[in-house]
Parts: sequence; structure tokens; C-alpha cells
Amino acid sequence: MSNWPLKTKLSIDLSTPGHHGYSFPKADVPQAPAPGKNCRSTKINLPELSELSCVRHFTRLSQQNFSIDAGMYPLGSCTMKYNPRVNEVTASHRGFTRLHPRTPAKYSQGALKLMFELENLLSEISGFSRISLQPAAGAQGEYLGIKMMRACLTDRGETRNKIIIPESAHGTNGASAAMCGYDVLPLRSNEYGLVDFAQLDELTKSGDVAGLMITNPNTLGLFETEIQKICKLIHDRGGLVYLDGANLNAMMGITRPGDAGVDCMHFNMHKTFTTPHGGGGPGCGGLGVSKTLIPYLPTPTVEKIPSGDDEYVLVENEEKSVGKIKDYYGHFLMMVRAYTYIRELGARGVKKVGEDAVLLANFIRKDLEGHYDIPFPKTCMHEVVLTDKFQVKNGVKTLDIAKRLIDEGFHPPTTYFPLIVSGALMIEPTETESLNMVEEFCNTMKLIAKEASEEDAFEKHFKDRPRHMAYARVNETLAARQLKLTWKDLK
Amino acid sequence: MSSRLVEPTDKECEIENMRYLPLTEDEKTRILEKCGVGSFEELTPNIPEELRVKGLLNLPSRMSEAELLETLEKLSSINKGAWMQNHLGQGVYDHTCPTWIDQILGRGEFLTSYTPYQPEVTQGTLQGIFEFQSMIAELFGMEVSNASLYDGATAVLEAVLMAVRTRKNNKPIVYISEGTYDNTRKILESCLPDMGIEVRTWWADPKSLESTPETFENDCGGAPAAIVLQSPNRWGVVEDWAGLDSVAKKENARSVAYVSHALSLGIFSPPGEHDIDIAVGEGQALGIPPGFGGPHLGLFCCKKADIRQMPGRLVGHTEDARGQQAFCVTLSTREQHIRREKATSNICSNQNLMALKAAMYMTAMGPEGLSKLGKGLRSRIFYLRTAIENKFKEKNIPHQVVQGELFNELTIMVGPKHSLWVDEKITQAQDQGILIGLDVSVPRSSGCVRGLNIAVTERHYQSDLDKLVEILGES
Repeated sequence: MSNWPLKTKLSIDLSTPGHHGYSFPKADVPQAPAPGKNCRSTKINLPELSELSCVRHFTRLSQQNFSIDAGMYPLGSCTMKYNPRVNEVTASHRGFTRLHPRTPAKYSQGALKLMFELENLLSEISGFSRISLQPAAGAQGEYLGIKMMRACLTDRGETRNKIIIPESAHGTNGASAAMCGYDVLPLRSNEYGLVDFAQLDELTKSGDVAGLMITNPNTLGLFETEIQKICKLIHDRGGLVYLDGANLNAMMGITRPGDAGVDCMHFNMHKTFTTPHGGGGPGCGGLGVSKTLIPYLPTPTVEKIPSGDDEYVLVENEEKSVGKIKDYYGHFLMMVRAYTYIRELGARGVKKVGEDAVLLANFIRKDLEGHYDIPFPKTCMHEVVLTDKFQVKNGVKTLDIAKRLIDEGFHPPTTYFPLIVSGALMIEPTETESLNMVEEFCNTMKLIAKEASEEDAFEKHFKDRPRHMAYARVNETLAARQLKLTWKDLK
Repeated sequence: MSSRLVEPTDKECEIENMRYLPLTEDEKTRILEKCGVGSFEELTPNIPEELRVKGLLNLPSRMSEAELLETLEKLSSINKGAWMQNHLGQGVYDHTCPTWIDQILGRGEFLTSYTPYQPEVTQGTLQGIFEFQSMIAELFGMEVSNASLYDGATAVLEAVLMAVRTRKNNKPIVYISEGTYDNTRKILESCLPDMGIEVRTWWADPKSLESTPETFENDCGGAPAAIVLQSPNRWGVVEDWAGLDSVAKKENARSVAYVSHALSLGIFSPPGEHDIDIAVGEGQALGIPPGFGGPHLGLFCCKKADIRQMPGRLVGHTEDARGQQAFCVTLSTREQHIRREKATSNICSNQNLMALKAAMYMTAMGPEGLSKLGKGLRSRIFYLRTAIENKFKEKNIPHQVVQGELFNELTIMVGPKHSLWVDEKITQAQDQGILIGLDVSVPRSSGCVRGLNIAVTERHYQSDLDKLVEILGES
């Protein structure tokens, strides 16, 4: 990130009438007469910039961003691992980028084969029978999973209207269930941070529970030891189990969620399979399903022609399918990246991903012991949750620690999540960080803990952070109050 | 499931460090010692023994970078469609995009940055999105735009859900124009019934292929919550937002304009000129490649009065503690990470890189570029329509080309006696290396049974279009 004094004006304020940055083929046909009706009457207020001005403007904007390429993101549950550059090269081949989604199968065999093989790779990694690549992002994968569960239950003649979601779950879980028309029953965690089996047992007795959405490893970074028992209970009561796959990275090559009896799980390709986070998207979802749910997969699916020589087709219309949730087949160019990554790793690499992610998180857990409160100190998978309990006594809160980290060159961890832990700081190093880097992060965290223990700590060390960046603390309250959302609003 | 990809060749369990996985064996031992355990299994006692993968997964052997590049290039090159003269449309178009855009968008600072929840270190993304919102609002003539949704089709779905939320006293019914894309209709029909919302059709006039106030027959006994009109429609005809506005006002429904081709707004009247409530669209044409279906770009605009019911991320203007202009995510209380099941949508991403790309594209084009490009596309499609009509007249071919206003697509309507003609033409063109168009269904009331939909982009010259006319005129 750049600290230089050249502030980035809005592009519209850099505009010079008559400049432009395009070069497209001009029409060599006679010009058609102007439309008689439906003609645009208002001017479009867009900037007019030469190509260099465009390049400079957006280069400067980029320099105002923190990124994985520039530094470590210990963001819990976000799995901000390195995004290999080779993925960007393979996904930019003309045969992928300029391929229309409705190109006949005989002219798009490479794309279909890639999707088919990616499905098989994900199936082997996750232990699920089939994969739908249609979801545009993790949240849409959740939605699709719940939707398929609903279709399956309806097919069984059931009209259940409730979904159980642990209080520690990602917010999207509840929102996705609601979009499928379900009411949400919250489930608390027990003293070990795991699903409270007794309460689950109680909640499912009524017979109106369609299923459970569970996160494993959960958002406290803990593996749900009783996952098989939980699945069995839900199944015995006539429901189905959805697994939030956000934390799949911790299980890669170590254990397979499909083997535990789960009915479906979404993938986050941008977390587990290195498609770039892109400052918030595009994501790439994917949903693994057990045999029970195969009939309800969305259409189309990619199939290999049984008798053919390496030939693939898109199959529409399955009788019990839930239909379509996304245009075409999903975010194909993201699939190319995920495929490239898995092929680079092979089986040994996949296993090393899971192990190293867990090892590094445990290093942090042990190294910060005593410096920060660790509510569940015994073990963790790929992420560890700390709190500000020790520091808050001296007036230093989680948000202060987060903003303090920025001045040391680290992106803050996930803060105030999971909601069930007060003042949570959720840390996930990911396996692509070196141990040196992780130690440097821990040392910084210890330095901050020391600062927080000093007299007058807030005034001395935490007030007005970040202090050394191009931008100081941004006024979010003002933004919500004035609601200036376009440059027209600034006039 | 079919059989595995490739039989694994290296089953041995030794783990070596790799370029993305730098942890060495020594370091691993150090960590285990620090944790007071002797093995990885001991470090993870919560995982039941019977659930552990024994040995290695059955995956193909790892590849070197050179092998990866070779393999993926081969897979890519089998996709012959990406090198053919391409007239496939229906919402996805092979437009051009200045090369600087991919290079700047590929900077690690854009590519590998996280969602801008920490505004002090993400002003680049935030300002880029603010500019995107500003330009989309300008293009649509609407008051506000969000930071983007998955694609045009799912943006329509979100618009309908928002319309129903804001018209609680109306019937949970949505009318969608007959000219709406098949895929969009399928998505609505798959997803809305779960929420108790019924999908009905606003039929098109069999002659003009437009959905007009005259063709709207409400029989739902109470106002429907939403009425959706797509333009240009799936036959390529540009529809009239004024008609949508008048129907919606009469029914006390929310009007939803679905702009299927973002570039069409460079020359045609935008939804904002007609007091439309919610305007959504597909932004793929704004510099984003077809990419075999994605990622594309969902656009979403509405009136400021409705903003608290809007789905998706929003970026607002503010200042930092030093008084500098700054931006941040705002009105998050609508979103899933705060509101959970009461959120306006479950979406937790935006199509951020695609939105940035569209922002770069519009910055490069400026108002003049959009207008010139739009006029050029329309001129090509008008030239093509006239040439086809002349050819049909000359050869006594009975098919009709859609009339009315067009942007970059047209449809040839075929009667019941010639239902195989569409397939024949598609095959004949393929033999000459041309993807001539797509088979689309047409209103039964038109007396025709099928349609051949042909799209043009700025990549097509007169000589390319003349080739199509030749093929279409062959008997």
C-alpha cells in the first residue's frame, strides 16, 4: 500500500471532454436511422479519460488496498490463502473466456470435461456422491442445499417448517434458510463450544424440524466430535443435515464430511480452492450431496457419455430436480482456477494443506497463551478464537487491537465473530503462510498485549489507529447518516 | 458416478513441502513439540478415528507448472466454439474490451484483497465500487445502484423479493413479460414458490412481440406485488418502459425493469426516465467475457426511498479522521452478517472484480463511446434485418423477421411447415465455422412454432453479416 500524498480524486473529477480510452471496430454498414421512440433523452454523466489517465487512476486506486500479495490476513473463517498466479493464466485462455455458454457440446468439450473432472475431484475430497457447480457463491450453495433438502422432504410427503441453526453459525445460514421459507430455531453451544446434543434432542422431538445446518469445524475452530451421532439423530427424526463448508480447508485430506453422514455441504472455492477473493467476489460455490439428494440436483448436470470416447454432454430436465438457481452453469472461470489448483496439489498436497493449516493455527494458540484469553484453549483446527478479556480491563477493546494491527502491516483478524464469544478475535493463518511470518504475527500480537497492559494504554498506543496509513479511521456513522451513494449525491 | 479420473501413481505417504505449502518437516516437529504432542493425530483428538482418511485420497498425481499450463491449454483449445464466428446471444455476448483493463484488474491489490470491511486499508476497492455505483445509476437513470449481484437473472429474483417485501398488502404474485429469457423464468419458477410467490405471464402481442398495456390481463383479484418487463426481450425487440410504468401504476404493483443488455442504455431510454421502481440488469456486456456462463455481473438499482429494502452491498461517501474524502460499506444492517434470517438477502459477496471491470470499461468508454458503440450495433442489426428480408423475398422464403425496434439481436420466426429449418441452418453454418444463432421458442399466438435468434457484436463486419444472409438464403 502506498503512503504517497497523491490523493485519488474521483474519475469524474479527472474528466476532459473529448478524451476516451476505447478502441473498438467501427461499423462498416450504413448507419441506421435514429430510433423513432425509446430514444435516450438524458445525458449519461460518465468520465472522459485517455487510456493513460484510466490506467493511472485505477493503478492509484489499487495502491490504496491491502492484499494477500502484500501481507498476511489472519482472518478467521475467511481462509485468505495465497492465490496462485498460474490460476490466472489458465483461466484467461481464449478457449475458456470467449466460449459462449450455449455453444453446442461438440464445440465446448474441453469446458465440459473440466467441469466433469472438477466434480470428481471435489467428490473425492469431500466424500459426497455428486457435486453441483451451479451456485455462484457459498451463500447460494447454502441456499441450494436447503432447497434440495426441502424438495426431498416434500417428495416424502413431509411438510416440516423449521431449520435448526447453532448460534455460532455464519449469518448467511439463517438468511438462506429463510429464503427457502423456513423458520429458524437457534441452538446453543455447550461448555466445550460444541453442539449441545441434549438441546438438539429436545428441539427435534416435535417432528416439524426439516433439518440442521451445522458448521464443521465450527466457528470456534473446533471439530464436532459427535458429528456422526448428530447426523444419526437428525435422520432418525426424519430430518436432513446440511454442513456449512466454509471451514473445509481444515479437513482437506484428513477427514471427509460426506463420510460422517452429512447430506450436503457447500464449497467456497475462494477459500479452500484459491480462487481470488477479489475484494468481495465473485465467489464460486458448489454443493456436494449424498445419494439421498441426487434426484433433486439443479439442471443442467454434466455427464460423460457412457459408451463414448471421453465425450461429455449437458443434461437438462431431471424429473425431480429443484430446477435452476443461477444462470447457466455457475462461475465457470472460477472453476478453471480451482481445477488448476487441485491438479497442482495432487493427493499429497491436498493432505498437506489440511495438516499445515491446523498446525499453524495451533502454533498461534500455544504462542499467545497467557497473552490473550482463549475461551476454548485445549485444541483447535485451522483457526483459533481469542478474546479481549484481559485487555478490556485496561480499556482496550477488540476493535482497538484490530486497528492497532494495521499499523504493523497486518490485516486485522475477524472481529466480534462468532457472536457467542464476547469481544472475539478469530484468527486463521492458512497453510500458505510460512512459520516465520506466523511468528512475526504472534510477536506483534504479544507486543500489542504488552502495550495494552501499560498505564494509560489507550491514549498512548490505541487512540486514533491506524496512524501510519494514507487513511486514518474512517467515519462509518457519517456515511450511514448522509447516505451519499453516487457522485450525483455529492453535487 | 463414473470412474475416477486417473489412477494415482504415487501412493507413498511421505509429505514434502511445496511452493504453496512452505512448512518443513522440522518446523512441523517444532510445532507439535510446542503443543506437547507427538503426532498430528494427537493434536486433533476431536476427529473420530473412523472418520480419518487412511493414507491418501484417490486423486491424480500432482503436476508441475509446465504440465499444468500444457494440460489447461489443451483443454481450452478443444473448445472450438471460442474461435468460430459467433452470433450466439440471449444475454451473453462476445463484445470487446480494452486490454489495459485485464492487466490493471489483475493487479494483486485488486485480485487478492478482502471484502472492504476495514475501510482504512481498502479505499481502492471502496472508491472503485462508489464509482461503479455512480456510473450504473447514471446509465440506468436511477437514484441508487448497489455494489452488484451474481447476474441479471438472479437480480430479477432479488427484485421480485424486494417488491413483495415492499407491497405486503398486495397479492404475492409476479407477472413477468413473455419476452423474458427462458433461464430467468426457470430461476423464478424454481425459487419463488418456496416463498409463496406465484409467477404469471404478461403475454406479448403476437405481431409486435412486445408486452404492452393492451396485452396485460390481470385476473389475480387484487393487485400483484410486482410486474417485470425485460428489454431488449428474448426476440431482440426493444420494449417500452412507459408501458410497464403505466401497467404497474394501474395495478399498484412495483415496476421492475430488466435491462438484458447494459449497452442498450447507451442509446435507448433508461428505466429512470419512466419512474420505474426497481431496475435490474445484466452487465456482462460491460467488458466481461462470455466465460462459458460466468462470472457475469448482476446490476441492481432502485429509488432512494426504498433503499433499506435493497439487497446487496452498498458503499457510501464519508471522510476519515483527518478530514480526507473516504468511502466505506454502509447500511450493513440490511445484510446477512448482521441481520441473519431477517436480512434483505442471503447474498454475502458482490461480483466485485466484475463490478470493478465494468467501472473500468465505462471509464474507458465515456458517454460518447457508449453511444457510438450502441449506434454501431444497432446499425449492424438493421443492416442484417434488411438484407435477410430482401434475400427471403428474392428466394420466396416464407419466414418473417421480427419487426419493431432492435438493438443487437433479431429473431427469424418459422411456421409449422418448416419447423426443421432452424436446425438445418444451425448445422449448415457450423460447417462453415459459424455459430449462427440460437433456437428460441416464440409465442404460439404468432402462428409460428420456432425462432432463430441471431446476435451481432462490434466484432462483426458487413462481410460477416453477408455470409449469414447467404446461408439463410440457401434452400
